[in-house]
Amino acid sequence: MSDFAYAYTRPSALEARPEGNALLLSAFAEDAIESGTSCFFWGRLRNSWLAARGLSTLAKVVASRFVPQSAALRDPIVTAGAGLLRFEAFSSCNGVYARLDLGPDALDGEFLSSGTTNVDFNEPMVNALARISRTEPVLLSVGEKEVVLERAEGRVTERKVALPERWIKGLTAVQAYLALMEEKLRMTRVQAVQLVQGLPAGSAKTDVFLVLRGPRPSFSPVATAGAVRVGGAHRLRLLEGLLPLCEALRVYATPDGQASAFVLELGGGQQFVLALSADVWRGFSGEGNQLDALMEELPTEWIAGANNLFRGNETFNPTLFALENGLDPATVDKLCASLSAMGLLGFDLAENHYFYRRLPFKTQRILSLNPRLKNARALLAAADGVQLIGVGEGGRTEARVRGTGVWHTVLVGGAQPPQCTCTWFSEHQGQRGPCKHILAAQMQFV
Amino acid sequence: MTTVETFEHIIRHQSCRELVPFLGALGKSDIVPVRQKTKSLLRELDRYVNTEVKPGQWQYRHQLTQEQQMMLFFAGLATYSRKEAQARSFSLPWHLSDRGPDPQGHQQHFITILEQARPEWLAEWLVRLTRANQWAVISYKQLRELENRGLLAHDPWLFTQSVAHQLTRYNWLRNTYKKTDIDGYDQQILHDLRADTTLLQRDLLLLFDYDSMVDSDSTISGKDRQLVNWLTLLPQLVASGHLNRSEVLTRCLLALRRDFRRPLLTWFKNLFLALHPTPEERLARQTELIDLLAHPLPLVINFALDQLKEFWTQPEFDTAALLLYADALVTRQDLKTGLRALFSGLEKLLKQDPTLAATLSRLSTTALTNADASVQERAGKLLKAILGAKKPLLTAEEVVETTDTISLYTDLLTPATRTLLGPYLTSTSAPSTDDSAPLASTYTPTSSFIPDISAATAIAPVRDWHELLFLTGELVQHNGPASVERWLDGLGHLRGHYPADYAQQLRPYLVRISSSELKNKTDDEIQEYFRTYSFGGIRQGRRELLSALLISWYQGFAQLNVSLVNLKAQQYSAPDPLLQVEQARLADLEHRLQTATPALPLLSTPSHAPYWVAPSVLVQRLLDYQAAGAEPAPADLALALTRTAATAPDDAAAARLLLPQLQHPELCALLEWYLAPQPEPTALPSPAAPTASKPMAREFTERLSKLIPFLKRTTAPEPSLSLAEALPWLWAVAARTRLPYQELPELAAVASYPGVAQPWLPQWRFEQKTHTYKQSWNKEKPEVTNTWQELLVQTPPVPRGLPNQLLLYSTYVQPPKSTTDWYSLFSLQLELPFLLSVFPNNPDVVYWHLIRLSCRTDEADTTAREVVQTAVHSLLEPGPLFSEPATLLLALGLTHSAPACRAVALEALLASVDTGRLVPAALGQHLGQLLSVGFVPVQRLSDTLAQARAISPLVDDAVCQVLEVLLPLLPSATPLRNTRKLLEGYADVQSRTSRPVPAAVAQHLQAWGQSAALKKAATGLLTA
Repeated sequence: MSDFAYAYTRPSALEARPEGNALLLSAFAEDAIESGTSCFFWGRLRNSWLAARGLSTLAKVVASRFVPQSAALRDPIVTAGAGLLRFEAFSSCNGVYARLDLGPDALDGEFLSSGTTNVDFNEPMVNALARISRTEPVLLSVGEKEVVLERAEGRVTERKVALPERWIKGLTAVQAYLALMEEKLRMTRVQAVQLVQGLPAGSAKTDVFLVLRGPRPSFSPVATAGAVRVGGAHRLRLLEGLLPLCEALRVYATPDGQASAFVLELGGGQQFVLALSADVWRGFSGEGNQLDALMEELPTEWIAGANNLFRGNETFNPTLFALENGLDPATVDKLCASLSAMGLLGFDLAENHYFYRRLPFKTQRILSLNPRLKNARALLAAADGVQLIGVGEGGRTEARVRGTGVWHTVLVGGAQPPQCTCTWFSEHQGQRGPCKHILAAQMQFV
Repeated sequence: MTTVETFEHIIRHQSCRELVPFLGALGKSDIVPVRQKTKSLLRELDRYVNTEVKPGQWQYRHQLTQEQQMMLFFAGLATYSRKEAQARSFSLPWHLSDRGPDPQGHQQHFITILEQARPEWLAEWLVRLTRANQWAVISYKQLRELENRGLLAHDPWLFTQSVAHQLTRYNWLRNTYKKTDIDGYDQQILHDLRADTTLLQRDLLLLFDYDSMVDSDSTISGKDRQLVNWLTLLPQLVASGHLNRSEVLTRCLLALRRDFRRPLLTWFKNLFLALHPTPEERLARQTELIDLLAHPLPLVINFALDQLKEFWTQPEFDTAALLLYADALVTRQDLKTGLRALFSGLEKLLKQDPTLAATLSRLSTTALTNADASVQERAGKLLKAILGAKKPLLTAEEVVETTDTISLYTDLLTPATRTLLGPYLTSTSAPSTDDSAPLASTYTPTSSFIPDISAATAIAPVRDWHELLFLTGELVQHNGPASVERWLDGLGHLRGHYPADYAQQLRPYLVRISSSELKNKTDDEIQEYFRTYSFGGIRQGRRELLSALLISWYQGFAQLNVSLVNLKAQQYSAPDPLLQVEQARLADLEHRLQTATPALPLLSTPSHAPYWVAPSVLVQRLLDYQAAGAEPAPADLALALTRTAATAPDDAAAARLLLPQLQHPELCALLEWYLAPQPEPTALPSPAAPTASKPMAREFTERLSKLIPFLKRTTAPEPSLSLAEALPWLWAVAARTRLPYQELPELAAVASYPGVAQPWLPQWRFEQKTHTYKQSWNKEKPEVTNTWQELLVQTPPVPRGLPNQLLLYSTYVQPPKSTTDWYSLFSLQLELPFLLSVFPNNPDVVYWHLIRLSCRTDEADTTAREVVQTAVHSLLEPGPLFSEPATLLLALGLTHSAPACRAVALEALLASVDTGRLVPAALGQHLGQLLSVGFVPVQRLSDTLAQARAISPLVDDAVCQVLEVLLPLLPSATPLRNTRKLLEGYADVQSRTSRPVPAAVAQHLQAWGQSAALKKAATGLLTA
């Protein structure tokens, strides 16, 4: 569990008021105590019915789990800023990431404060979302503007929830994958509906590849050119209720096929993103795809400076940012990795830019949430944990790194990807981030 | 004596009777020392020690007696802080929780100590114990006693769990009676329940608020062992007025809103139904019932709609609320029954209130996206009723919007719905497939196949030591045939380039394949470990052969291990027979690695993807052997022949140019024939097979090892044949690779065995099997007969024993013994990728073998399913026209019980249309046979073929050709179930290809037209 927990002072609720329903989301922001913020947004939803469908789907994602595991946190985190409300959540197994973006066209109200907060998604409130009709005006409040609500039987409902560490680790991995993704397919609403209808029955135990055959999307067990690898494709059923409502669907994937994302354009400034990890049993929290970038320890003042800058700007494109500030793109990548390792950055596929989450700036999270990095540093701290054997052609460096009861041969540097004789590397061939031995050798010699 | 010493004395020598007053008299300052002593005594006593119970008889015994265990628990109860109490090891002893008689009075001691100590953590501790194990919950009686004594505050969750466990406790109590089948036990329980007003008024109702095991809590009553559970007791308590009926009904519905476990939700549903609510009671709860429509589980929604369906047209019914929820329901793909019920109701609503037409049309159009045909049909009917009403129910704009939306969804519609809504599909509504569809084309199988032997498919040899090292890791972890072959090749050609410390670098892999005990061991210790390492385990296969080679490599080839791997069939193992050839090949490589630097490469490692050996590469390798004065190993050469792409004309021509340099005349003759553009059977020589007899010593060793099963390391390497001796067998391999189906009488002298002079062409047929068993306890059905079909692959009887293991195309002629079928299948599953890699030219022998082992019945287990899936996957590769076993395999894949197999088979079907490998008539024939005998259900095929619809005109045409052959093979008098779906699929592809309906199909359609279920589809095709 994480180093912080939070509590709501009242439950979220959909309340019937004379002027229409009000969706009052109770919030707890980790750094709200310092800032004194209690309400982030107060206003109307332009298409409340559609937003309710999106929120219901989000609730479905957080309630889902695809490996035997106890239910984790069920409350999404909301980032208010840059004229948008972004509701983000993971499935309990951490293999599915979902985000509902409510843009300026979807909202008619006031952003009282920028920030990131957890909102209470309790069972009655989620059930009540189904009662919102198509034409009914609904007021949305993220946080409490004023304490005007009567509480049941005069009691204050306080629900303490601990934010799982894997959520922050997952947020780190997801944004890194999203930033690498390319658009692979674009589908109409009909094709989007067919997408779920074409899913193999039951749980997909092996990878399938999404491809357009004629006009129809098909899931093939065989990889072909242009096909998108979708691990655990049955997880797409989470979108069943939303697909018939979307205007279009865009499918994204990383070049190495390690993650895929489905972006539903819902119209009216609303967008729903569902990202899937490479396999059902692989949570985003265990990916380690940012470790390469985190390897080099940047000066804390650099990270703090970047944090302050991005906190003010709320969104930025890394390439433009590097160009505007005359920075090496690799340095910007490292800065982004360091900040996202604390859960501070997210990535918007449609706009191709990062957005900032106002979470506490705690640099110790970088190490504590990345045990492989921590273990690599421990290897370096030991007297003879890493030994140089020689430097070959093109700077290819051979090292021996201490393993558990054996010494591993590690090759780093040069044009080829690093390699190691450990089980982790043999099993994943570098696809799930480098092992601690490679990290240690890279930190020492590259 | 100090307090602590007294305490220790009591624990070691006395009982709870002395301990309880001692703990009650403890002063505050004594608490911590006694706590420490409790923990140290636990550490000392709570362990098992090997004790000599009788002279020479040793047994592990628990040092802690039951009484001591109880005393230390009581001491913990009296002295532990919250931290210690939350430790996992501090749990309630089983018999303290009111599970029967307590002669020692421990339960009373438990209460006494709690009253004395009054631990603050009691509630927290009990909750923790119950959350960890619901069976460990403390009894309700005890909870109430603790509450009454002020030791525990009322915790709703904990009390719920205990109440929901009461019947299980009553069940345990039965053991205290003389006769455990107690007459009127249910009435006795009811009497107890009715007597407890706190239970009735407070705690029993908590069952509706929390997840508990109330749904599985039960006991039995009477001689007829009548089940007593809460579902039988609660209605009786309601009937007798001890529970408020109205409250229970409402609470059932409120509980159904929750995200409880599915069985618990079913239980609440059943309880509601068990109370037989009247229509008035249900109508009064319409709000609660409608709220259930937001539930994520279809079972709850179906229940709610079922309860509401009779009120739809009643004036008191809140239609608006229902329509509000219906908006979200119609987008749900997981609802079928519920949506059908919903649309039945919506039809009634339309008749009652036509002003709802606009809302209903919107709901119906959205429901057209549902994949279920009957849901679509219901939605279509409602739309037709709205749009076709004599008096318009929609405005002009609404009509346009509705028809536009219907048109948009045309491609999602099932044939029945499309027919229903045909009049409202606008011209733009034609399926998008048709817009861009090119003109129909005709599928024709391609008879010629030329393997791709080019730079694009050339396999790069292992570059350097580091690549070889990391390839070893891949091999240890994944064992893929392609990387294994590259590794074998690299091992040979890099011999002499290994670094001095290569063995050290291999150690992580050695640890992984053998034992983690090797960690932190010295080199000498590891060498010693492997010197006596046993390769004679039960499961032996190619992985073990490769591990043996890796160990030899680590040992610097000081010891040859490959031939020590025991590949003989044993009681629980039946290694694939082809592995013996692989063992000989690897043993030969191992031997050459021991002696040569660099070692000559294997002849059979593929030079081109996926597993081809280019003819020129083979000849060049033979020339290298000749130059080095080495003789090729027969096993290696046999595999090289099966892998050689002799039909690649350019490379074969280049190879023929090299042949004159080969100085071995017999081998040269063999290769000249083998690499000829059209090898003539008449040009085959008539080589006679050598007669081999086992040396006496070997015969003796084998007999001895049979007598002494535990004798290890007795398997001496098979004496390998010389090339000259092996030539007759190699001729047979070469001949059967090039001419797989021809009669070759010239080879009759080699051996009288299928796959030599005669091709091995097994026959397959179905046989109906039945099994009858009696169930005397079931008076209604005392005898049950199961009937099923078995697919039998049959070979005429052959002499036992393969003449020589080099006869690769005869390896599987002899079927495995029925007793080792499963072990053969298990071995096949592990080795199949390798086996398929051996026969890129002609894998039929493997296909027949796997069909025989894994497709015997339709109900395949995981092993059989994986075998079929892997084999069907191999059909994706380019190759010659599908042979009979390949087509049969494809047919079995397309109709397999596992969806994953069907998906791969569909891909193979599509790929084979692209490459021209498919023979539609043969596939139609095989599928027809599978369906007509009922080996597989029709629906599987119709669903699979539906996915091939409208992909391309060529695919449509091929599928149409398959169906044209298949349909006449189906029974016409009594149509098979779901024949309609197959006919609809045929109508669809037939309309796209514009192929005429063949006479044989038309004749069957005439007959099917008599059946009510098929009339529409059949006549539609006949009149088209």
